[in-house]
Formats: sequence, structure tokens, C-alpha cells
Amino acid sequence: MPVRVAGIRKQYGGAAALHEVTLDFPAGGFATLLGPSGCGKTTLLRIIAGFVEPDAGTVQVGDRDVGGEPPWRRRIGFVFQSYALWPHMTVSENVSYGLRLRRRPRAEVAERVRGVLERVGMGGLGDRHPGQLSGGQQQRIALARAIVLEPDVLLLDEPLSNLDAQLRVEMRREIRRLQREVGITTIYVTHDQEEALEMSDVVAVMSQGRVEQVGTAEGVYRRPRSPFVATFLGAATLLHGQAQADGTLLVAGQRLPLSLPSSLAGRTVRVAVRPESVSVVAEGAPGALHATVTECGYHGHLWRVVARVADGLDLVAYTAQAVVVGQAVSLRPSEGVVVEVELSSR
Amino acid sequence: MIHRGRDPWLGVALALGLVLIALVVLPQLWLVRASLVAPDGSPTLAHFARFFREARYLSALRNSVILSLVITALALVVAVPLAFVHARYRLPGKGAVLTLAAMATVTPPFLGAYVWIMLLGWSGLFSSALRAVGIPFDSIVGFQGIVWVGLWSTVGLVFLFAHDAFSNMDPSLEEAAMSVGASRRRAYLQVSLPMATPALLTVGYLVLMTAFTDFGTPKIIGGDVEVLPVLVYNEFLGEVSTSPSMASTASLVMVGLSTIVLMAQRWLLTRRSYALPGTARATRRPLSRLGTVLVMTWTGLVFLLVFTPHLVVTALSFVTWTMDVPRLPVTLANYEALGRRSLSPVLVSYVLALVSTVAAVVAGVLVAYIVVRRAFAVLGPGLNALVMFPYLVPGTVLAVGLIVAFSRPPLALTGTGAILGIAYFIRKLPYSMKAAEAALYQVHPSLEEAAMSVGATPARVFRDITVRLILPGLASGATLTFLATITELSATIMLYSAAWTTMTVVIFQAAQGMGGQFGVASATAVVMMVSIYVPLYLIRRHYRVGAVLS
Repeated sequence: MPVRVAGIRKQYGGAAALHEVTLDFPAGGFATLLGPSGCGKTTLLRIIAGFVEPDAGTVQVGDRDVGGEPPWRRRIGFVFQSYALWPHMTVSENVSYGLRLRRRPRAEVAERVRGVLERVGMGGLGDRHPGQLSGGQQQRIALARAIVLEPDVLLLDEPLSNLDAQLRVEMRREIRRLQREVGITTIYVTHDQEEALEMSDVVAVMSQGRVEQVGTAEGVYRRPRSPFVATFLGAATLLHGQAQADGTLLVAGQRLPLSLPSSLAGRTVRVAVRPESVSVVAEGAPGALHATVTECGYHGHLWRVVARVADGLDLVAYTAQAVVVGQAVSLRPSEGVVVEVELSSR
Repeated sequence: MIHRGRDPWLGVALALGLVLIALVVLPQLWLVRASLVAPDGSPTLAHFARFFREARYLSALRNSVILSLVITALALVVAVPLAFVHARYRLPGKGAVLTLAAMATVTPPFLGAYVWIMLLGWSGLFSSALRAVGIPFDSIVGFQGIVWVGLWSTVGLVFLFAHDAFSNMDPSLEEAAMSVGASRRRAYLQVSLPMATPALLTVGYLVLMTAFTDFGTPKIIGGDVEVLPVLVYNEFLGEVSTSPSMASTASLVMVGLSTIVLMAQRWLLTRRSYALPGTARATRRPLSRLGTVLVMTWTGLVFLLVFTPHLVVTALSFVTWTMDVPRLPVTLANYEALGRRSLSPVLVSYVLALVSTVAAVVAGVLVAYIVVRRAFAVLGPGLNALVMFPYLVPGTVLAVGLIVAFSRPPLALTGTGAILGIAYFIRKLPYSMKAAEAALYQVHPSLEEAAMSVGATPARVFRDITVRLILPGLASGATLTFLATITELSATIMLYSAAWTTMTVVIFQAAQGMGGQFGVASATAVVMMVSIYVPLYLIRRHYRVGAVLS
């Protein structure tokens, strides 16, 4: 079922947590709310769930306005960062609690619990208590507890942030696989851009209580529309200069071939350049810029090189081999995305 | 928070508020009225003027203040160094020492007064013996008696708090001091002791208030030395020249002083509380053989004095009493007499303690839930204040308020079991509320939200999740409430009637030399000790005196 939030506002004390947030989440899709801590993403999720009452705005699930409904009637599943498994109940009791509240026949409850535990790969662990399970197992149970009720929407609040790195990557794929199998509209909150990019059909990047940009993972990564989105999602060097008619950017006396749109010629713009679109080329190659290496750090699969082209113009590139600090290199940036156009341009 | 309009907790909060206003606020307002109204019904300040002018009232005030301060100072001097040594050095019997200290904290002080007067009173067993060998010992009765009993009944509490503070101190703090050149002794004095001041301030406050509000000890062993709780009692129930107005006035002076002391303690605490990083515990250093012997002798002496009442009263319950004098042979006659003729006080104590404990725990959980989980702007803090207010009101004062408020129809409760039950309920509500509050803070709100998200209504969430998770905390809170109730004397003594005589009243009367039932009273005291130490043993793992009181 599609979810729509419109005009959501929320203040805590005097501080605004959300300003007029409007977002559509497509039916059956996997959407991510991505942003740094304090950006309002969790508040928005909790408003959808009904744990927090917004100051203004509506929440619609399908055709139903759920704004007036308490959480226990919304048919929205929620998975918590802390798992929130009830320690005094066994795994089966945790998962079956919602079904028992609905007074389903005992045989049906047992069958559905068995089925969902199989589905999350926890078959046979029904008699354990949560305290006897690892973090990853606990999160699978929390997931099972939410989806066994076949809710209209599934909300996940940073569900992987308490797991260690390797398990996190594994669980991402697991959650996505489950979501595809069940076909449930899912909204996922995270501050981890890698998670967001890998899992989502739709990413909504949030900052300071506002939605900065919404789009497909690839669209948001490749065409950020603000300096914040460009730097929060992946690495980017922000350059501030003047767009030229030939698509280059004039910055610190250098012309960078960034294929800027000609319509911006003459305007002062801010351009995001991703390291992967900067290549180290042979001396004297066309369009190459002379630079001096100032930093070189190993990142496992590649080296991250920072080089100074001119005062106030540093570029970042990835290389396969280490470069000596102080060495001269030739860099060629090939693409930049305009993230801001200054209004008062000469 | 969830939708305000349909939150059933709002109704619960309102109902609790009304009950507490009727039971806590109204009696106090009646007290205020009694102290400010002249016999002809006109408003007057004459009672307060009289209080601060007449020698009798002023000397009671002075006695109360001086005695409380002296007892607190002595208890700190005796217990803090002992606690430090036990917290920091490897000594035998650590568990036993802590258990004894915990037992001491739940022993009612009047038990000590009762026994010490039998030992060191004018015709006491030791006094007579001392005079027989030519040492001119008169009697412990009076100022020194109150101090002596007060000291040994509070040493255990100070020991527990100080031991906790010195044990839970990160050793790196002292190591840091020594790394910059402080000797170990200097580090102890200039780092460890200051770090422990918040705990010492808290326990100092508790001892001060215990001494200030204690009725039993000064009444039993004070002789002519009158203190405020005894003054209130005498003005209200004494045989000659009673004055309810003056009793009310003295009561309000006590409440005023308690409030000032509480505020002073809070102010000092905010100035001296340290955010302690880490959870490392202090390491315990080895002690030489001689040192160990010295420390253990010292410890043994202190705890022997603390437990003299227990030992003596147990021994006296097994001897033959003729004409109020204990003699051999050893016998079970006192217990037989207790079972045959005097079982009623035991039953009364148990019934009242159980009923008021259940009521206090139920109300305490509800109030704690509202305070912790619901952001009611006025009701939350209001309920909290209503529950905690009786904490400031000495038992004697509380009882006077209840008598004044509930002595006329339609609520003529004086002399009934109900008024005792109400007194216990509101006096111990702060303890059960604080215990429930501490337990609730351990339950992450997401556990409740998770239940709501799978369809549980607030009532179901509370029943299926919250209560189940705080049950261990509630059990220990309930036990402490029960212990405090079954040993309550200062309100009981004003409110009991013949049909509702408790164990504490029986012991008190014997200590006053009334009733002439020393044997049965001793047996009753042993029953009371069993009634508090068995439950205390059952919850020993959860016993955290500081969590509830501070």
C-alpha cells in the first residue's frame, strides 16, 4: 500500500524537528530516509507509526488517513534499533504476541509463527529467550515479529546500527530479500549512505528537518541537487567558480573541463566533483592540470590521493598505486555536477 | 507520546491525584488551620509566638537540633573510616559485614532504646553490676542515652553508603593523583574522600532526619529531655494540659525544619556532584596480619554494639521473668504466653503491613509510570510532589494531621484499623514509588512501543510488558515497604487503639515499663526481627538502600 505524508511539522520545545515535510512512498517499494543524526528522519518515522503526534500534517496509508488512529490500530510494523524484544517471553511468544492479541486460533498462530521463523532463517529457535541470541539473530526475530502480522507498511529505524560491520552487510541483503518476497511497502531509516544506496528503490535525503532531495539511489548519487546531498552521499569535492561557455569551470585561475551545461555560462556556481571522475593522467595529456600531491592514504581497494592544483583548489582522486607526497602529478577531472547557482551573478 | 485525548492514563492520574490530596494535603491543611486559629475561631499567630517564646518549646527545639547533629557527626566518624578500610583492603568476612550492616538499617531504633535501658538504666543489669564492683555508674537515661542509641542504630546505614561509594570509585582517579606525586595517604584524603562527599551528604541527611524524627528512642530513654516528636505526642495525648494547637504548631515547625534541611542537602549535592566516568571498581589492597587483626577487632566491636539489642532481647525472650526480673532457667514460656494470649499484635502488624504494602506498591507503580512515561505538564510533577511530600513529614506529625482531619463524621476513622492503614500507606508510598521509578527507568520505551505496534492497547502494554519487566524491582520495593511498615512506631503510637495494637506498640509499652510483660514483649521483639530479616534475606541480591532513599 502506498504511504503519503503531507505537510508534516513537528517542534520540540522551541526547536523545529520537521518543517513541512511531504513525501510519497510507492506501494511495495523500499524507501530510505537518509540523513545525519538530528535531521528528523527518526521523528518522521515515529510520526508515521503513531508514536509521535505531529503538530500539523497528514499521514495516509493507501486511502486511509491514519492521523487520528493510535499506533495499535494502524497496522504498521515497526523494527527498532534496539530490537526491543521482550526479554520475559520466548522467541515464539515474542513473534506470536500480536496474533494472540487478535485472538487467532491456536493452530493458525503456531503455523504462522513457524512459517515466519523459517522465512527469517530462525526455524527451530522458537523456545529460546532473546537473551540467548546474538544481535543479528535478535534483529531477525524483531523482523519476524513485525511481518508475521502482514502489516500494510513496515518501518525500520536504523535496524543494523548495533551490529558489527560484516553482519551489517549480510543483513542488508537479507532484509531486502525478505521485503521483495513479502512485497510490503517499507520505509527504512539510516545514516549510513552505503546502506541506503544498496538497498533502496527510493532515497529521501534529509537535513535539518527538511527533505533535501528524493530520487532513485543512482539518481540522487549522480545528480545531487545541493552541496549537502553531494557531500553526504559519497565523497565529493566542492568547487566554487565561474561556469564558462565551453563547459569548463574557472576556479583559482584554472579551467577545469567539467562538461557544465552551456546555459550556465557566466554564472557563479558550486560544482561537486566525485573522486572517481578525476583521473591521474600522463604528463601533457589534453586537459590535464598540474598538481602536487599533499596526502595519500590507503583505503583497501585503492589509494585516496589529495593534490593541490593551485591555492584554494585541491582535487581528490582514487589511484591503484601509492603516490609519494610532494610528487607532481597530472590530473584530469571529467565531470562535475552543479549543486548551487548563485543568484547574484555578474 | 500517544494521543492525549484517549490516553487512559490521564484518568488514572486524576484519580490518584484526588486520593492523595484527600490523604496527604487535607490533613496538613487541618494542621495549619489548628495552628493558626484561636479557641474562639479567629485567626491568630499566638501559637507560633508562644512556641518561640516559652522555654519548654525552645528547649525541645534546641534538644532536637543538637541531638540530631551530634548523632549524625558521631555516626559518620564511627562508620566512614571503617567502611573505607573494608572497601579498600582485603579483609575476611566481607559478605558477612555487609549483611550485618544491611540488617542494621532495617532495625527499628526503639528496639535499641528498649534494650539499652534494661542494661544501663538506673536498675539495669549492667548498671547494678557496675555499682556492685564499685564503679559509680548512675544511668544512661537522658541526653547521652538518646545519643548512644541513635549512634548505634544509624552506623549500619552510614557504613553501607560509604562502603558503596568507596568501592565504586574508579581506581585511576587515585592512581592519577599518585602519578603526579601524591602519597597514597594524600590521595585518599584529597581525592577519594572528596569523591565520596555526595554519598556522605546523602547518608548524612538520612541519618539527620532519622534522628530528628525519631519518637521511640527519646521517649523511652530520654528521661526529662524532651525533643520535638515527644513534645508533639505529649501536647496531643499527654496526661496533663494537652494542647492540640501547640501540637500542630510544633508539628509545622518540624515540617519546616525538615524542608530546610532537605533543600540544603539538595543544594550541597548539586554543588558537589561529580559525573563519574567508567564503571571500574576500586581494587582492594592486601593488609598485614597485624592490621587485619586490629581492623577485624575494631569491626567486631562496632557490630557487637550495633547488635547488642538483638542479642540481648533474644536472650531475654528465653529466660524466666518473675516480678519483672529475668532469671534462669531457660524456658519457652514467653513464646507460649505469646501464642496463647498475645498473638493479636502479631496478626494486626502483619495484616496492616501487608494491606498497606499492597496499596502502596500498586499506587507507587501507577504514579511512577505516569511520572516516567507520560509528559503530563501539571499532573506528572504534581503527583510526584504529592507522593514525596510525606517523606518530609515525621510520623508523629502525619498522625496528628490524620487525627485532626479524620476525627469527625463522615470520616470518623480515629481508633480504627483504617487510619493506621492510611498512615502506613502514605508514609511508605515514597519508597515504593521510588523503587518502581528506578525499575521503570531500566525498561526501554521501545519495548512498550513494540507492543503497541503489534496492536496492544495501553492497558495491555502495561499489563503484558511493563509490569512483567519491572516485577523484580517491585518485589524488592514491596519488601522494603513491608519492613518499614511492620517496624513503624512514631505514627502508630498516636493512632492505635486496643483492638489495633501492633507488635511495635507492645514492645514500646514494655520499654516504658507499662504492661509488665517483659517476657512476652521480648518474644514479640524476636518475632518482629524474624519478620524483617527473613524477607531481607530473600531480596538480599536486590537490596540497594540508596536506590530507594537518595
